[in-house]
Amino acid sequence: MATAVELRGVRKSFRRRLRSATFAGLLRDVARPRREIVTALAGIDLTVEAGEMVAYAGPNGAGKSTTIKLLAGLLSPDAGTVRSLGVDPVRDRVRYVGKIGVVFGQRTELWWDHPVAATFAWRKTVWGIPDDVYRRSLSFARELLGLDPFWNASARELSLGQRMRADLALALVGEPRILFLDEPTIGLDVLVKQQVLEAIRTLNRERALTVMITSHDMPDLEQLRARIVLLNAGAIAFDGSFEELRRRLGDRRRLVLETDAAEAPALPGASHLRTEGTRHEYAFDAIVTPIPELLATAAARTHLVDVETHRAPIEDVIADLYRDWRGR
Amino acid sequence: MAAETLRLLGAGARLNAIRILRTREQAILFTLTDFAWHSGAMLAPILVAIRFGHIGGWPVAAVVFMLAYGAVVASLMDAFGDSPWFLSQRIGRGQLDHALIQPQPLWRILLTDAFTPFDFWPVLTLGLALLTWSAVGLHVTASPGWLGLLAVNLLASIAVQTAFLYSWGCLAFWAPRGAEEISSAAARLVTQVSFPLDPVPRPLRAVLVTAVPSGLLSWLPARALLHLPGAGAADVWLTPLAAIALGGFALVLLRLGLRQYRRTGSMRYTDFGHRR
Repeated sequence: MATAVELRGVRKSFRRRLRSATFAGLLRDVARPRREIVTALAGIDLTVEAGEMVAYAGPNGAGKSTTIKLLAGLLSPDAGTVRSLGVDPVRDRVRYVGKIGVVFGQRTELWWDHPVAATFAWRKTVWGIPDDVYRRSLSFARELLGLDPFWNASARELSLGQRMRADLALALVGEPRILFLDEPTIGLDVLVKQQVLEAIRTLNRERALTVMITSHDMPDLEQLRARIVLLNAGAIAFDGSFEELRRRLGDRRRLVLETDAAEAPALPGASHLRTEGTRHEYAFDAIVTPIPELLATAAARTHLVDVETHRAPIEDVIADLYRDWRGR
Repeated sequence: MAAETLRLLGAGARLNAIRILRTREQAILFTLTDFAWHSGAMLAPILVAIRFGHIGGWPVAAVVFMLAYGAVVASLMDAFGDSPWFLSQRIGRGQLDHALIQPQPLWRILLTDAFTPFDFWPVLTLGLALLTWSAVGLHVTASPGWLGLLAVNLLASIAVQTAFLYSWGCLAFWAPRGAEEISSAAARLVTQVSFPLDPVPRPLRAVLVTAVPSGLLSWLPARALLHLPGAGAADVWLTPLAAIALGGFALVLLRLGLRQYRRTGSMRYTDFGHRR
């Protein structure tokens, strides 16, 4: 398998100006400006093979968008090397960006006052896409993302979901070899999110398109069944599958007890999360505290009416992890 | 290279045509008001010249020639839209990223992606008509050499204004928020002059052809092309030389600025950052 993306020892930091809140402080800042260094990437190594789908996640400020910008040729690293499709994205920008698709969830590549169709025609010219490739990729993208109902509407008239579908389709025209998606599901409703995620899965599965996607939404990323790379404070904290991540973090579960009392019984090995009426919810690690042992303790301490156990949502698992990281 | 640039200008022209056809009333109103504004701006000095028979030793036709020259420069620049000239807004609003993910050299993107040739043709037509009328009135021999010099000077005036706007606009690379509007401020500073600058005190005139080169946008080239009193034989090359010097300075700043942009990138994206 060929290597699509390779980052070696990549470091990137930004200088941020510190500003006081008081007038005297502001005057001091004029005379002696204060700056702090924010480390976005602290020397990361990452290889993405062609045809792979990588979910790139981490808390705010972890360095996700910085990585996408480095790979889109918008930023240079302070140290280390960035190679994508065998070239340096900054040095070979013109040649390189014609082979990739980039979608930034919080901005649009659509011409605001023009019909969606006009932006696609414009892209064909600027990207120099041959007629046959354009026809083929446009027809595929229009169908995959359902653009027909708003094909002739102005971008300014589109809903956020329609806009995102159009932006994703636009990135696919010309058949890019890698797709970089920075928060593509941000602000989307459930149905549109499903449609966008399904389209991304189809592209990867059926077209073997290399996809690198960032998101805060862990269930979305889990749904993609991608390799997950978790960033923390500019370093890769985890690189593997979601199953492996769950294993690594323990078998976190939820236990819901329906009893005849409003008071939640204390259960050793489980932490009480909330009580609603006579319904009590607990969190526990099934490896540390086996389920039969916990249920036996519960039955001995209260009268059980009903019992449920289920896996903790991946979001909670990751939130715990982020809390651990912040606490360190 | 030229073919590719023309192809992209064609794409911009198509977008412009689509916008005009979709918003016909707005487009017509915009074109008419722009035409009225430019004509009005030219009318006042012409009326003053007619009333007194001349301005600062320039006959009426020469004043008209200078104003028409300025109108041609302004309309040719307007034909490329706002976006090539207002670099600081692109930087400050995070919009430069749109350009950098296109597989084209940056200069070509900046030059072509806001090309709006159908909005400004009335002013261009008016400028060219008045340029022709005044040249005939002044008995100028429109030899191929003279027409070539006129074209070179028109391009040089455009280059001077572009270089001035870019030199200031590049500050936004280092202060994206603070200097976001600096290109607009620079554009307000370096405007077309309405009257010949000959009666203006020499030190002020020197400023107006160097630090704030408004005089190079119409007055100096018109005086040189018409061989009016005060113009030296080599003056016809002053604006092109200034364009080369200022252009070189702006290019160095742009390169340094882009290097800075690669280091810092854009930290924000505003609602004004949509592609328009």
